[in-house]
Amino acid sequence: MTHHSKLLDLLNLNEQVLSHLALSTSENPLELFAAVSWSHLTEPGDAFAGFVREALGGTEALALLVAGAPEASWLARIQESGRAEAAEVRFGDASATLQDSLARWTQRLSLNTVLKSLDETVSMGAHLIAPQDANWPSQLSALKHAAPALLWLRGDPKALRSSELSWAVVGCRTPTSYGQEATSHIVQGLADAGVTIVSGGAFGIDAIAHHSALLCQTPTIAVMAGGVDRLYPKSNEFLLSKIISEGAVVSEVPLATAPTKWRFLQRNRIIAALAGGTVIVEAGYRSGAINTANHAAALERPVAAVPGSIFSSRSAGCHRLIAEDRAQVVESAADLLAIFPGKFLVDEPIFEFMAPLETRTFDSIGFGAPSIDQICRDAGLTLSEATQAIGALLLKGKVLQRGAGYQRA
Amino acid sequence: MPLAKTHAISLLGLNATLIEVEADISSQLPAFILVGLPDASLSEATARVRAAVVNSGLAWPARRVTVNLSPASVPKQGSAFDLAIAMAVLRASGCFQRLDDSFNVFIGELGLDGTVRAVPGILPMVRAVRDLGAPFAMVPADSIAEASLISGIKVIGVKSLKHAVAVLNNSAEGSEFQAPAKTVIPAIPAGLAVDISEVKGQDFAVQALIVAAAGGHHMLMVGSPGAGKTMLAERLPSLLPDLDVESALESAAVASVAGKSVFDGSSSHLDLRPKFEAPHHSASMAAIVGGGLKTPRPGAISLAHNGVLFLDEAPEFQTPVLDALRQPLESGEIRLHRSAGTAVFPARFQLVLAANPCSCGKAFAAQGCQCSAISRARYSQKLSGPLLDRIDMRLVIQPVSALSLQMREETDRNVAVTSGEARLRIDEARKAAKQRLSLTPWDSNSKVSASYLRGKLRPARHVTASVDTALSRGRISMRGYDRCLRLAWTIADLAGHESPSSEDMAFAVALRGNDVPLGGNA
Repeated sequence: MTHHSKLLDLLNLNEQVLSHLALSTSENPLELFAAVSWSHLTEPGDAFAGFVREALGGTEALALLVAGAPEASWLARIQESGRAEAAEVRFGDASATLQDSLARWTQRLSLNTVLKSLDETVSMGAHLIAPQDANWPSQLSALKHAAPALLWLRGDPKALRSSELSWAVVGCRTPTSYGQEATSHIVQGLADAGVTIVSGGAFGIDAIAHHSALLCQTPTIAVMAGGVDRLYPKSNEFLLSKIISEGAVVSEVPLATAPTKWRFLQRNRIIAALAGGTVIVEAGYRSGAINTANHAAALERPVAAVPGSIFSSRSAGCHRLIAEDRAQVVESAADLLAIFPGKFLVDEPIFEFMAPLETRTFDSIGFGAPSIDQICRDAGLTLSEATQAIGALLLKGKVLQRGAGYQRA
Repeated sequence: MPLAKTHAISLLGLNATLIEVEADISSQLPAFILVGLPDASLSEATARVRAAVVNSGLAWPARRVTVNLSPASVPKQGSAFDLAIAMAVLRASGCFQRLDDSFNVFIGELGLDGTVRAVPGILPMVRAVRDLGAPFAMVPADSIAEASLISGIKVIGVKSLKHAVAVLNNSAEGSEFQAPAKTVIPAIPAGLAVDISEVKGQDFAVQALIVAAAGGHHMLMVGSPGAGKTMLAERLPSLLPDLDVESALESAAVASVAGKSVFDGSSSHLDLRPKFEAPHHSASMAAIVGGGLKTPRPGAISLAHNGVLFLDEAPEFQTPVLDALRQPLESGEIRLHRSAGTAVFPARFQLVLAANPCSCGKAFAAQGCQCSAISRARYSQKLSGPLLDRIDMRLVIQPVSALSLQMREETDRNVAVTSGEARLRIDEARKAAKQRLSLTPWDSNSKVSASYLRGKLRPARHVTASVDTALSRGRISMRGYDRCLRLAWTIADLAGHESPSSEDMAFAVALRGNDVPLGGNA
């Protein structure tokens, strides 16, 4: 409690001030307060802030920042936490990173902003979903230190519960009629199995995905790049308000934050981490959807792409993903559902996906024909992992037994 | 008392028939006549018995001696009747005070000097005597240890004809079986001298061998010469648990008929270790499945009963010999029909085949294979489809390079699984399978019928989903599908799973191997 009271002193707050805020419903108001503050202080994806919060604790780190503690005492505390080495590995010269970060964070320190934001959160009926919350999507921890401190949510927080096995359906803002049809076709199939649809609430594929999900009455989550009070884009306001009433609109940035280019890219990382897998319906050669796909691949989540016409620029991005082996071809929802075996009863999939272990095994096979013992060594897998992966790849027709080993089919 | 009766045992396969030996002495010109369908070796008994009696200092009746072996319709062969014939004649000539017509069984061959010599098949003969309810059996002294493996019957060992007469006249003691002093059971039981931990750098193959041992799955290993196929196969028995006494006796009975030792090493304990038979590829049909003109002898498949039959260089065996394995693989026994009758030998063995990938053996190497496409195709046809269908696991064994071996030596020193450790897991897995199959006619996963496998034992739909899809797309055959299910159950048993998981299924797919394993499949 010493830290807590110290922080309260520093912030010039007392329990009474806290009690009339949104924090009153929280079991640990101070922690939540710190999480809200950190969301204000940092830009999305600030991994160093994530590291400091993890190493020192959110409140402790906030107290240090508010107290204007010198760099040396930050470093001492990091040293005490036993995470100095980890910081070194992850961020290189920790003191330089710290110096920059402190400068960035300090200039945003404003108690009023935080309190005002909390008040507005309450008044507009938005929810604060913190990591200790029962509805917190634990799959976000795959983002490691870049995981958000907090989520703002409008709508039903329970929508997050089914998000682990959800599919993110994303794509370009100006789809062709083929892309529109493909989106609703796939979403409909996913909805039949009760899968939650995650998307970015943007024009085009995103909007059609949400819209189809609403029509099929399956939960849908829109992840915003700006604050959840700024339903963006404006012309999707009606759709987004429907999502709020039947699903959820979430964001990691505080209310009133403007959706900027950087924040869109960081929003894509939340989409990728929130959903079990990501499917790109239509995307140009340089599209935001490709960015989402890259985030998903980095998290070892399955990525799928819908093939299109060779004459359509809107399919070029999808084709590039497929050609570079970063996405697998998908024709129907059944292909996607088969990725989480046993979770959904599905029709026979047309295309079969490789699980992460299978991908690693497949990659290690390269253009040779290694034996299972060699694959274990090359891919760094245990014998049973490699054997199971080979078995699955054989069934999917991705590899064949050739000579004394296995070869890509 | 010119008429007397004793009993002997005639063996056909492992089936024993009780034979009455009647001797009649009549007042006619001296002669010795043997009737009742004796074969050539048995007809010679007249010469041996007469000489043995005379050379033992006993009187041979100077009258006409007729010996009848009945039932006359049962063909009889061999020299095991000598002792029974001699005893019948001696009794008829009044040599004994005590011996009556009751059920007395004599087994043994006579030397001209009266020595009682051992005969093959003592074990099944004595077992039959006990099952028929005879009070005692007299056997050659040399066979007393073997005969004593059968409980519930008094067995008397005799060294010579004179000894036998003395025993029956109560003037001498028969050789009783001396139970061997309780020896300390060695830490490594005999037959386990080789150990799976000696196999280096073949983790996958070792794992496969463990699965084969646990489920009793037949196995084919394909690999270049020197890849370690034989080494692996020889270590399979070290993974198999001891047999129970009933099964061990069954195996011992076959060994006994074949004239082999039924003991564990040089001790007089019943050998409980599963047998390992590795006939050379020049073996004839009779050597493999059993045979012989009138009186079939057990072949390698029966000698490997409850154990392992290893056919190294399998494609080099004569094709009819290999195909003759199909029926016993199904039924667990071999029936040999001869004019003299039908001999049945048990033949429930685990088949392990080893083969080169092609006739020059270099199909897996990057270069150097001299075989034409046709010769490869011909080679791959040497193992027929119906035979391969019965083989659940087809492994490809790759030779271990010196470098990788050295790397493993450095890292894996403590990790290698020993046969003893593996045997504990295998034992558990076998028990689990037995428990599950307790209401069925089968006792191991390898024997379960395909329809039962797909019916009662079918895992949940999501577990088989990937295999179902592969089946409907023609990536695996129906038989391949069954083999996957079969292996998946064994893998689940080894892992202690209630029923196979989708990971177990995938594991099984990799172990199942190629449908066309030979010919380099390139």
